[in-house]
Amino acid sequence: MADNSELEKAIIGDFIPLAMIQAAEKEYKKKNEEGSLTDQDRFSYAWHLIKSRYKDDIKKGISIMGELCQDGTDQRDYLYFLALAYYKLEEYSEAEQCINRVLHMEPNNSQAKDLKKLVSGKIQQDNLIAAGVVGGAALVGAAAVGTLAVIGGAIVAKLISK
Amino acid sequence: MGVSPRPLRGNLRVMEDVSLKILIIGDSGVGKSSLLLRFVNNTFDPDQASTIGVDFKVKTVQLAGKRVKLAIWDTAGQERFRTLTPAYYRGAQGVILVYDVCLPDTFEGLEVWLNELDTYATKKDLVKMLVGNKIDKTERKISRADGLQFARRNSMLFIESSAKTRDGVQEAFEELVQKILQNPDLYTENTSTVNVSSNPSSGSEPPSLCGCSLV
Ligand SMILES: Nc1nc2c(ncn2[C@@H]2O[C@H](COP(=O)(O)OP(=O)(O)O)[C@@H](O)[C@H]2O)c(=O)[nH]1
Ligand SMILES: [Mg+2]
Repeated sequence: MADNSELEKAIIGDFIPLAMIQAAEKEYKKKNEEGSLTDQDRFSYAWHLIKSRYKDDIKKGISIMGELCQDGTDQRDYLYFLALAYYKLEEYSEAEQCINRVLHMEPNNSQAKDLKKLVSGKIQQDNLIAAGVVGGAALVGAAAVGTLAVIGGAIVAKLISK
Repeated sequence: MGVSPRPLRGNLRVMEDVSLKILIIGDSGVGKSSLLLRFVNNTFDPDQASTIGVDFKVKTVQLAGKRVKLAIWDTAGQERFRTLTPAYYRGAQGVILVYDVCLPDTFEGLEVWLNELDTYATKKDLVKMLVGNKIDKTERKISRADGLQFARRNSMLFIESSAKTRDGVQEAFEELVQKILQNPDLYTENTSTVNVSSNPSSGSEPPSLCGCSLV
């Protein structure tokens, strides 16, 4: 089974060169002006955007892929890439919803199971951090007050001893 | 107690770490993902789901006194992904090209895959392994001799396999890796850029200049 951290590195680091994205965009715009855009063109452009290292590109990719997803055919692929895109944007609950839908269609899909594992890990981590921040803040606060009191006490003691 | 624990450490250090990027290509349905899952997890699914774009698995093997970390990229052969997957050819040191011994179309399609490799692979001396899969089936159409001849003509390694019965699977990956390890030029420059090299952009991307927010 693939080691989680390696898989995460691969997925997060899975960028394609900017030049490829620009070429895809040019093609998309050209066809759009000609009025000959097919779903395959839309898919291809959205795929390139989702593999970009820039968040704005990924968001644009999500919006195109999301529209395709309404249409019904090839849902599995669109949903998988949506999950991937949300994962890259650290929007884990959206990612989870999408990947769950893929797994609903294909419970044994190992690719989807891998991504689900990563998403669940992040959600768990976020929950822990959220709990930890509250608990941690209280601790730090208490410690700070305690330290001040000690320092204050020491200064007073010093003054008195003079 | 207290006797130097160092020798053990020393032994571990001697083992050289190598990272390799391996690619699996070929027509849809020939058994690429099945070969990968048999190799990595030792499992086989008769209803293997078709790959979405590209899948990624890691496996570490010990070969020729080295610890070799394999990052294996398994591509979808479907038409809709044909123009997208070549992005992953960059930096690959080895490629496994698969056909189905029962489907002549997948054998005849091999030339197209080789041309695509020539166009998009950045390491021109990458090692190629041809794999004739599904030899467990009775309705074989492509003989072993034909497969071997094609491999020889195109300077490829060759093996026949069955992801279902495990026949030849381990060998396909290991022989490919052995051959890569014989050519240090292929992998030594790679050791310093282990992290980026497994990805399509291979560090060719300029750093952000526009202040756009990065992932
Ligand atoms: N009999 C047999 N079936 C296989 C073998 N390898 C793969 N398959 C089946 O062939 C189909 C396609 O396999 P898959 O790995 O998805 O092919 P890919 O599209 O090349 O990744 C699946 O139903 C597999 O179970 C094999 O060696 N023998
Ligand atoms: Mg596959």
